[in-house]
Amino acid sequence: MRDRSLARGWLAAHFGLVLLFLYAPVAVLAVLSFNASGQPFAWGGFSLRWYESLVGNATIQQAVVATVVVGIVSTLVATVIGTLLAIGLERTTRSSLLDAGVFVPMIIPDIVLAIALLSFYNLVFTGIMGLGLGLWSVILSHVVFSIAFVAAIVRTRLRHFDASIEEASMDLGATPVRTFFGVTLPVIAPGVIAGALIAFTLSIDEFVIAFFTAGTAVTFPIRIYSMIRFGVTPEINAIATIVVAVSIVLVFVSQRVGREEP
Amino acid sequence: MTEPIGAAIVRVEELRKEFGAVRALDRVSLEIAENEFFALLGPSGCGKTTLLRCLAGFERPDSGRILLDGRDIARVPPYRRPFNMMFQSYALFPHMSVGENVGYGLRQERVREPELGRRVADALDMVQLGGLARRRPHQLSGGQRQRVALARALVKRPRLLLLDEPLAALDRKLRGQMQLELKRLQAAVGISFVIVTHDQEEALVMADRAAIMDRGRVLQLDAPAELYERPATRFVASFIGESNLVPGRISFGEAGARLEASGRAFALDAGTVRSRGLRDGDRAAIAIRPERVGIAAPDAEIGEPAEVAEVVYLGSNRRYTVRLAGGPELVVRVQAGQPGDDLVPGDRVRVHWPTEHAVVVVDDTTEEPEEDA
Amino acid sequence: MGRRRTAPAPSVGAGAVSRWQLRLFLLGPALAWWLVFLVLPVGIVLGYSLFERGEFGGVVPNLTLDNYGRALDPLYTSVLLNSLRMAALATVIALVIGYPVAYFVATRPRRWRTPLLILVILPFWTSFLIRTYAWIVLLNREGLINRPLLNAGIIGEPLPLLNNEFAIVLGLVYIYLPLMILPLYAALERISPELREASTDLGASPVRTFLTVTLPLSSTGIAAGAIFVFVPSLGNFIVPELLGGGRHPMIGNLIQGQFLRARDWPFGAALAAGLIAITVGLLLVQAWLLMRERRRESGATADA
Repeated sequence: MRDRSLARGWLAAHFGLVLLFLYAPVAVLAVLSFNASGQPFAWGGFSLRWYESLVGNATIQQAVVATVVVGIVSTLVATVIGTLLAIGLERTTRSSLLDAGVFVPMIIPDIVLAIALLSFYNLVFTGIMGLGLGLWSVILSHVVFSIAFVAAIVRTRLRHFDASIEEASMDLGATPVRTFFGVTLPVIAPGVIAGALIAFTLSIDEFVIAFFTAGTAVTFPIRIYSMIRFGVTPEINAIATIVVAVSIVLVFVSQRVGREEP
Repeated sequence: MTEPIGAAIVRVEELRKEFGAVRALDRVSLEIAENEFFALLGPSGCGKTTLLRCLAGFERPDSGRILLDGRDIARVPPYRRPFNMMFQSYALFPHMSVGENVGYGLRQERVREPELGRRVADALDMVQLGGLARRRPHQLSGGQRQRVALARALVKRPRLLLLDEPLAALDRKLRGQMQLELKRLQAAVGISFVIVTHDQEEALVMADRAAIMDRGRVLQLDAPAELYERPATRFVASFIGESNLVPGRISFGEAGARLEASGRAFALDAGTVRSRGLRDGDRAAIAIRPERVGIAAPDAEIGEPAEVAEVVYLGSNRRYTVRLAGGPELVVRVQAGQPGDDLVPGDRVRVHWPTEHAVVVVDDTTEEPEEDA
Repeated sequence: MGRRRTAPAPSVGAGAVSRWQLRLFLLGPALAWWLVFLVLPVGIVLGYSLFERGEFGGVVPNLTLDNYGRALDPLYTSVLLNSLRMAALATVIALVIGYPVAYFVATRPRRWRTPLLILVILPFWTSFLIRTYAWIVLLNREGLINRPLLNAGIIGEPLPLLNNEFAIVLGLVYIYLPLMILPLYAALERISPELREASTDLGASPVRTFLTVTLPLSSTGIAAGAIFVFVPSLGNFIVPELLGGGRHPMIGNLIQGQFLRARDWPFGAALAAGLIAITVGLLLVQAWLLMRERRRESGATADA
């Protein structure tokens, strides 16, 4: 019996260490972002100057706006398409091939998707239609993987869904369309919102595909990347802290919403 | 077959439905009358649920008609039929309150306040849930949810109320209570109830008439008493309650109609034989209910000799298995307090039964009867 | 309650719309999107891998296998092998670190599991660019690991923690560890504690139970986790670039280079085709393992 608790002690310690490993680097960045001196080892006092310099920085603001626009539009499109997909998969077909197929956009290496889309856009949009790449091409690209995530999350919600309430609705006189909007949608709404939030989070953090398909446009991650390549600066710490905080909040909200009873 | 008491509301004609190789409905025809409590009874897979869903509109029969007021509604979608269903899982809308659930169907009919509120309140009172209109389904107990489902279906005053195994989820005691309540409710509202169940006891308690189904066919459609006392086939005899079944062959002779089995001849009622459509030489069986078999002292001059093989003590009665000379076994039930309630294995007795309780039944199994030794 | 229906009935749309119309409406948009923006582009890439590079960086549709031939050049195969090695190393390390974590969370009381899991998965949802950057700050010569050690006199010279394979593997593990833990947890959680109890009841020590019961039953989780870490690691170019100082390119860097700097798209496409082939191959292996596991599971429990 003593082995049991000893083992459990080790497991718990290991868990704690891993959490430390996962969170410490980012926590360090957060701390540094408030360091007035900007040097990792000279604590110059608590300061918001790095954050302030961000606020005044026009290129960063542009990039943020661009990223949010891309995020919102791609999320809206992907949420609609992904929800329909989830309902279709759960209700109208038993194909395990399709089930597996939905995972492909999630598992494909992002560099492969990035160059594939670049080649495609270059051929069709630039080559044939003479259009330059920009935020719009990033939006189209983000929808590709966002659909899969939304579908996966909404599907989980659908599994716990008693399909007979749709029959009950029709039995009581509602047409299929009214049933969908009056019963189905409200009940899966928390799942849809959770999926949308995850898709949004992924989109605003996404770098590789945006990097290849944005043409001359700049999203926030692309801006961060070029800042990092120029060298480590304290502003990046501030940006990092903000980005991480926003992502964490979004994921948290998504979790709470996804769990609630309608 | 027992004829319905009232006028027919719905007539089902020659319904057929196949799911791949499985024939769920095999030329089913029946009638549901006004103000009756009708049961569809049978083992799982017999087609009763399919039939119910065809009535509701969730399954479309391959062929056949469902006539309502002379119009065939077999292909009319469920939201345009004047029938309502109470689902086995209750299917309450989780995002609506109890009141909104019950009023849902009325809102589809464009019923407005104040009539909407009044009818919802009346429906809830009828199932003894008055005052719970604001609650959410997840705040209710299983029994309460069931009542909400009932109220929701009844508030639209449908021509038929369809119930899909409504008591399956309840424990034994609650089930007994709900059986009586449903029966009372049906009598109170005057709407015909069609209930699907696999529990024969339930059907006997609640139904005015019941249709027993097996493998897509209706084997017998009768009032419970008829089903119990005069089963039509072996299947019905063994599905409803417990039965002793002795398979054999029909023979007509100067002594009247008899069943020859295991070297014995059992006297039969000729009228019943003919009404079952049995002729000389046909395979058949007789069904004798265990409580109709009488036990007499070994030296009595009645019946046949037998030896008690097994005794099961059931409190209010005893269940004996007795072996007749020559092999066949019978199950006998004796009420506590009656003579013969104290037998032990090995006792010798004589067993007898009135001829009219040896009911001849059509043999719808595939066994070969025992040939004369 | 059990299944009442014997056929997959469309509960939405009984009567009004045909099954096929419904399927088209629901599945159509997603499948169409993926056809145009996934299947077609990947097809184009595979096509490009067989074409020639044009003079000014375009693609000339002359069929050739030269690109694949070039990929076999020792210069590139060494990069491929290094990539495989580093990705595999990262996967193994992630497995070793992640398994106890998944086991720990899966064996907590039910109400603790989701919060603990979220705690572990949360970092994954934040920008991996940021997370990689964090290690630059920590690992560099003036960074948060070297400085205190130097100041305390424990080391005389800064440890070369950055711009080498160590940093790359560390970065890969750091980024993809949550992806290893998630499927491991899912598989472990599904193992009924009764199985472990039965094993110890029959006399096996905890270690034995783990090796002969828990570990094999979690094999699908191990396979899934391994793929979730290995495949993205292989294709990653940010980590080698930022943490490897550009001196330890992986396949991802090669592909990126061909597409953005050298403008030799056909060659880059050939390299990408190789990556796709490896990914597909691993997915097929995993699918086969999954099927085998399902068949085994269905025979062993009472509620099969």
